[in-house]
Amino acid sequence: MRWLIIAPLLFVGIFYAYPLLVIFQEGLFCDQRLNLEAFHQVLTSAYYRNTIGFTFWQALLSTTLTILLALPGAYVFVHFRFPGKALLSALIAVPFVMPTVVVAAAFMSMIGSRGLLNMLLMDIFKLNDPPIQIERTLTVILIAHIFYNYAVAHRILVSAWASQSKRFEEAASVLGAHGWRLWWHVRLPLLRPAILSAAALIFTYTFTSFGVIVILGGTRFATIEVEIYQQVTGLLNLPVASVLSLLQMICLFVVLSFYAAHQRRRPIEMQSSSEVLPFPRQISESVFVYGNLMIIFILITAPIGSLLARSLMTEAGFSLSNYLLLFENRRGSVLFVAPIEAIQTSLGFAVLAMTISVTFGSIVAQFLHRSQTRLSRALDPLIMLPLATSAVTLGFGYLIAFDTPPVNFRTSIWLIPVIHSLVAIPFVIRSVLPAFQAIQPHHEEAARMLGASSWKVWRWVQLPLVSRGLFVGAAFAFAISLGEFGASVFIARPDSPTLPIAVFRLLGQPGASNYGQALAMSAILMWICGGAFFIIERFRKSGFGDF
Amino acid sequence: MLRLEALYKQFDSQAVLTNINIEVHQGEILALLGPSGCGKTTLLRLIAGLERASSGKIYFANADITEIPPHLRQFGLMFQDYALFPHLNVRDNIAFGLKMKNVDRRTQAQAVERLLNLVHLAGAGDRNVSQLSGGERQRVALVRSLAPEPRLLMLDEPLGALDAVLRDELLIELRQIIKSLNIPAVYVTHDQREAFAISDRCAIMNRGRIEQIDRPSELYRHPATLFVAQFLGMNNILKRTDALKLLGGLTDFDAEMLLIHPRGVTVNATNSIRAVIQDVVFLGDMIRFVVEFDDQIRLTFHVPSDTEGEFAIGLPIQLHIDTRWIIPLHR
Repeated sequence: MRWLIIAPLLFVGIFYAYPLLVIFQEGLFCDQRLNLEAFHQVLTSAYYRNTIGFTFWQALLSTTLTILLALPGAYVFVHFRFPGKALLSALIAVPFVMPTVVVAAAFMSMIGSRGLLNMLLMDIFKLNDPPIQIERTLTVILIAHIFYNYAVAHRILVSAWASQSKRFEEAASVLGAHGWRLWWHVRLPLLRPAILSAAALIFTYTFTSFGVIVILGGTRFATIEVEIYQQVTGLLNLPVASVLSLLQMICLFVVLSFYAAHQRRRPIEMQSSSEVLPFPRQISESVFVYGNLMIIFILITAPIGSLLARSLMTEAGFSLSNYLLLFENRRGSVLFVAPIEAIQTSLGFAVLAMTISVTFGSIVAQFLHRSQTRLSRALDPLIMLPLATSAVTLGFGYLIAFDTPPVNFRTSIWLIPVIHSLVAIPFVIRSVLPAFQAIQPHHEEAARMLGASSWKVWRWVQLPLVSRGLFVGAAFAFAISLGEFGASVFIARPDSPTLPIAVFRLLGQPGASNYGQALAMSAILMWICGGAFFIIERFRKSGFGDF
Repeated sequence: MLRLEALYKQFDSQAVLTNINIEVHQGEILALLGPSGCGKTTLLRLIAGLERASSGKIYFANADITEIPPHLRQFGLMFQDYALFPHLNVRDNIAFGLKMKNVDRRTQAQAVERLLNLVHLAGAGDRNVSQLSGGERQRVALVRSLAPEPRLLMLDEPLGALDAVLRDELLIELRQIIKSLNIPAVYVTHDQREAFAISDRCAIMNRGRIEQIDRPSELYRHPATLFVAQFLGMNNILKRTDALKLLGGLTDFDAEMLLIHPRGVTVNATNSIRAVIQDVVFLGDMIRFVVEFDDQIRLTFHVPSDTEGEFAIGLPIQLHIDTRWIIPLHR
């Protein structure tokens, strides 16, 4: 069984390492010779420096704001009991599995110029123009980023905080620390590893943010990611796009190494969480607790709710016509096909990507679990590398790597599920590995002693024990494939768009019906991903698949 | 039935088991007793086939099984942590071995019911293993290993995880069940009381070797080595020269170390030696007392609690040491 590991390694080698190599070559070499002209061009031009600067700036802002908002929320979750806690806890994680285009569409439907809030205000105050002009501003990008990453910060902070022994705080208060001094000298320092690792993760996500910015920011705001896209599709300037990709990879590598360094630190002391938390007692406490819960609740439900509501609205009032239009293939449409076909295409890709990534992911997880060789230790971080590579970079790499003989399958429909499974494999491994690790060696030996051959041990003991992890990994892969946008946008064929690409194209078109259809498709995508999320939550034991 | 011949086992060129020769007969319970790290669990795993011997042979019913993989040996092993499958309920755990043998479902169900009855768990078949108490898990693990009707049963510290009261109760039950099967059994433990209570014969192991293998009563009466005596809690060990001083002419012992058995005294008999009581503990059936002789030699003795005489700290006492209870110890 051990030689099976060759398959995923080969897969990652061909479909991950090779495209990156081609980008490297494209950016630094010209006619087989080192050529730093593109590098020089990027680093000296004020335009690109601004782009890089803006990428850092918005990522930093998004990260800081998300953490600042999540800290009091996490405090409330760790220290208080309140009705509906479990539900809200699950709800918070929902945005994490939402595709970026859905998030962008949801915010457009809420506070965009054609959004719900503007419609309401125009209706009430009889205005001709939408009063809230928030589209194409930094503000809306930041809000969307907070919505998207709140879950990450919340989960990491809560689990770190809850596992921290209360005795540190008690000891500190006995020693005279109180109020802000307790925060400054005890709580925050103890939480620092968690804050830093959450920050590193959010920074990575927002640094490579593509869908949100390209839809909500328009042309005014370009991150490196958006710039790569524009250089490739608009200007066909491949060397500059390659250099940008390389610079971005270097930045991500630095941030993620930082994350890995902090991840390794174990919590100082664990406490059992059997303790019963108090309800908020004083009025100030109640205001603080319920105020925070209100903010969380609105932050998460308002965009989702308005997406659903707005998708049901047409100029003639509430109707299903936006959804019904999805079945029509109108002439001159940007999609060339009836929008409903994009759903079928996407579901097909998702099933394929899920199959590939679960197969390879579980092979790798089994290998990592079984063998303690130097190879397996080296493999662990290596296989996580796709996490550190942005989707746009990967898509761009495919575009330039697979368009020349001998490997000319750029127009092959297979590249999309392949690229999706590559993005999903790290998530699958992280979901399956804990399940493998939970199997005690004695379980396998007990089965052997009861007469089970190696195959039967696998079939009747290992497989059932890891099936939960496999379910979670499969659901993750499915949701990731459905929502993947940054990479697919490079390699999807015009006549077979995926769901997010269809939404993107429809949103870019004028006209109420295109807008309505985009929202309807986003809503459908949201429901499917919500279903996947439900499966993940059902089968996820605590600690499974946390990122 | 089971015969181990010159078994050696090394891990990373470190000898874990050295020259193990044991025979276990049909219907016999052999206990492997020793401190942790003495190699008893490794020996069990060799018999099970979960580890391979570095050299030596294992025979069962006169057939060489050294190279047979564990799932074909038809041996049962009960793990210390029970290793019940968390994804199966009690019934499916017990039926697992039968399923591996492709026994038909009806026979499986009947066997499971019979086994559940055997350990007083009738009706618990549908329960999840996580809902079982420690004692219940132990019994499920036992009948799970019995279900495929193994040719030999091995138990690795089966009572280790249980509290003392439950342990005594289950020990008797366990012995009765194993005895009723009439198969050889190997029982690993570090607890001397447990080993003596359950086994027909007991092998005391130290640093990968078997120090002594005999019936429990013989081990108690005649510990052969210094290690065995000390492991069984007998510390009246004197150098030969000291013993000569204390007891006068003792010529027929060739060993350097002698054990004065704690049972080997009579109080107030003729031909006795004077000593002073240093400590007294009343143990119910027994009185244990520490005495000091003239040469500052301290020994501990046990006498029946109905022994005549006054036992109090500081009082002198006349003791006769029976030479039949003086045991030579070898290293």
